[in-house]
Amino acid sequence: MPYGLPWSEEFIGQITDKDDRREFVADQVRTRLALLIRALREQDERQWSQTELGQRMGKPQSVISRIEDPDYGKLSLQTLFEVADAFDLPLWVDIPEWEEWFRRIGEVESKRLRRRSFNAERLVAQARAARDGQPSGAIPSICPGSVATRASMGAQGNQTMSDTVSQAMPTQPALIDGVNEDGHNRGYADYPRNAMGTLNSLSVNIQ
Amino acid sequence: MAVLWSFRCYLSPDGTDEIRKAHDSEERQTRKKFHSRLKILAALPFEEWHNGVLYRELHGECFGLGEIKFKGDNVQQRPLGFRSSEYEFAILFWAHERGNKWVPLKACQRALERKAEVIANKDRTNALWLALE
Repeated sequence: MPYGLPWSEEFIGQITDKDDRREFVADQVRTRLALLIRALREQDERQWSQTELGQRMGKPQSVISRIEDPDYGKLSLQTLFEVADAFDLPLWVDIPEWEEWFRRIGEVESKRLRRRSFNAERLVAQARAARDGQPSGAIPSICPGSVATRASMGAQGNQTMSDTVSQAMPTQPALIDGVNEDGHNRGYADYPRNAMGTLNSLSVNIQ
Repeated sequence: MAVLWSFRCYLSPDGTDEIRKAHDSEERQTRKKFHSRLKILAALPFEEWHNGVLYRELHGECFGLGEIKFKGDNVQQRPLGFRSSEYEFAILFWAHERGNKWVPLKACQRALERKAEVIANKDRTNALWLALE
């Protein structure tokens, strides 16, 4: 395997069949999402129980248990907006090229899934530092007008979900994530272009 | 992604990779979910295996074994194995679970017998045939 690539010739050989690929991607996305939500909930600054996250979302604990189950296949985009909102994080949805997907999907260790909630002071300080030409850490660029960017405009918007994670299997891999605003622990510079998170295929209609 | 773990699979006395044989008899979804879950487990430190979502250590008559947990083709899939060295996990027996019962009923007993064989002779395992990166 060439140095630094998270896939090998042998690995690719095992997903050349499109049906195999579909199943593999679906499980990777669902499992990573389940791990991500759990990691965000258990992150040091939060240490929320499933019940507490449920209270913040207005849902019973049983719903949280279900969305943290990688075998649960019906997680909706609306629910993801609500989860992200409970953590005061934005949501990012994308259908990337495979190279990017391979690079991002393997980030499953809890320390790689840490995300800081919205903090105006921090963001303003970064903006001021950037204006003044001082280094402010890796700040990911956002592609204006992308579906993901529009989707990330918030859970309060009038977006509708026309599909769920369990449906419309991808021909392209999909990414979805709660976005870390400043690239903390993420190494964005490694990626050829904007890259965020994981989900299965979905269709988003922003009105 | 850093691959921390390697997986090994039980070989019967005639050299058959019993895990691969069981895997190949499963439907596509189960096969690819198995591949996917091993890829994820391979990237996680052992303390993060322990949350009971992807993996669970067993007790009682199954003490000394752990189960990789996933649902494939509407069946609870339970490949059983043990941590054979610091960053190596040996898969011994592909069991299923239905209604809180093992299928086959003696899955743990058979896995424990295989574990004893593997501990006595490490040649009774094969490196996992699936590439994880």
